Amino acid sequence: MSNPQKGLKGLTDLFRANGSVSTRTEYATYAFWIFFFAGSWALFRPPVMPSLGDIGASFEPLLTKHDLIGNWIKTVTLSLKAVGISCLVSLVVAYLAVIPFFRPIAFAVSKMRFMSLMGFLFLFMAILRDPGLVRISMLVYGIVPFLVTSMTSIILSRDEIFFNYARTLNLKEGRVVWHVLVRGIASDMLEAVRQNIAIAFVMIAAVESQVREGGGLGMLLYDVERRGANYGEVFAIQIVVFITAALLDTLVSYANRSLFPYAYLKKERNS
Amino acid sequence: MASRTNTTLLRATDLIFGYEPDKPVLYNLDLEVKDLIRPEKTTGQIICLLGASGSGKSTLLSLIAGHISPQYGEIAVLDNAENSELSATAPGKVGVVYQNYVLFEHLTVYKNLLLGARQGSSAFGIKEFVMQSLSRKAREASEAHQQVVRMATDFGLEEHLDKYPAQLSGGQRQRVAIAQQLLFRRRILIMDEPFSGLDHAAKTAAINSITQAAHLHEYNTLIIITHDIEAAVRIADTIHILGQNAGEDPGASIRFSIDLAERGISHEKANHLLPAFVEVVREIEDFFEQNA
Repeated sequence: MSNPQKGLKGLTDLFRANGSVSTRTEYATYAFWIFFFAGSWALFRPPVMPSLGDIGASFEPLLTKHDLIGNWIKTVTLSLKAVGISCLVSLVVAYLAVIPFFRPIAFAVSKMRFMSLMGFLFLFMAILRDPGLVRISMLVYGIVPFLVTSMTSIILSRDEIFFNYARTLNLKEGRVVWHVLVRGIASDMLEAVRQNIAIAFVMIAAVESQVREGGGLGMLLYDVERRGANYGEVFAIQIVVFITAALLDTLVSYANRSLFPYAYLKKERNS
Repeated sequence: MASRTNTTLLRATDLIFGYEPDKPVLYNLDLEVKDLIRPEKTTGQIICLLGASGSGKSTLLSLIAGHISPQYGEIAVLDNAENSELSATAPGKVGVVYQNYVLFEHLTVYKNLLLGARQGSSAFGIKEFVMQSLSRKAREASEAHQQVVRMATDFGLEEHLDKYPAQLSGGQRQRVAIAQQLLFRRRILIMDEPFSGLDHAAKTAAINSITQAAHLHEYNTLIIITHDIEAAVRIADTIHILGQNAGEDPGASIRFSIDLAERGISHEKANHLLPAFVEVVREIEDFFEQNA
């Protein structure tokens, strides 16, 4: 039999600072907010905004006339390539920060996140010429400073005690780096990648709409707006980008859990 | 009856160290640890360095472990090799078990212990690493594996070998950390505050693990850094009191030492019930009260 007092406590915990709720209540809360926003959208949206029905109906022309799937594949391929290259570049730059001589490079790259992405578009086009290369380079240029910032922070904040411990076991300096700065923080590094994948998807529409050769969802967005801004279609494309990014985010999170289970054991124990 | 040999295991002479100029944490600190033998018994020895919070105990640990260098004076330790002589300390010459029982979180208990055993074996090279990485059979036939299994049995860790450190309790972690350092086989093992924050049962378990570790080999010398007076007197052969001679010295040094073997306390079962135990505890408490 259910205990009404327990149920009431669960409800008060839901509104208490640092309150702890059951998984069931947590899912119910998510469901509530989804219905709340969907309802608000349906009832209070400004006339210029499309209804949920308009957005749903927009998928049909996007799929049949504008090759939504083909453009989606192009966007996903481009973003995966850009994220892959960015990870490699960022790892090299971030790990070079371990050596004092190279540390200024990591700091300088990190500060480049304040630089405008689009400001250098013409420079990229003049130097590289190939549109595919320009797109990837711009994305890499946009992602790397954020990844380097996160990765350098993880590397440089590693507690001295771990280095001392490894040296106490008489490990050579290369193995100290391997155990303390590579394997010891691999899960945190992948988590940094997961968090920064979002930036790739934030920038991809801008890059694809600026360099339209090669297609992609960004090009499709530009095309929709050029044809007279059908906001139903705009929202439909944005939803596709959102779901793709969210799926990739979940996939990386799952990979992290599978590859580095020990990191999650610690987090679960601490929580 | 225990007796000290002429073999010096560790010697710190005229140590001065401070993190800020003209503010030494340790000042003119001298410490000598000699080997202790007991006829017809295979026992190591336990030395306790007792000091109040902020007295420089952890700094002394870092100096002995070779993590930092003194601004003046020197620390020499005896190597593992037979007929070796005292030489300047350096990382790896002395084992350390840190307060929070630091282990490699990405390695299972077995792999943490295997790492210690392999580091302690001069016969383990690249060829052995490749062979044992490729073949489980080769690994299980290795000396390091046998040592790990023996040590795990001695410390009651057989059931936990496949677990990651994050899955262990505090007591189990402590045993793994001690076992790993013992497998590396150095004469001196320092432990930083092993009784800190433990309840009575956990403290008793820690005392048992430490005593067991000390007595596994007659060369084992454990230096326990602690502020827990009763635990120190229960466990130690010798206690060194670290403190500052207020008004006279700018930093801490060893103020006095107590040979518990001489007082008939060390290696006695239920020694905490002996009148001599209570006397020593009171003596140390009085010192700390007068020097607070």
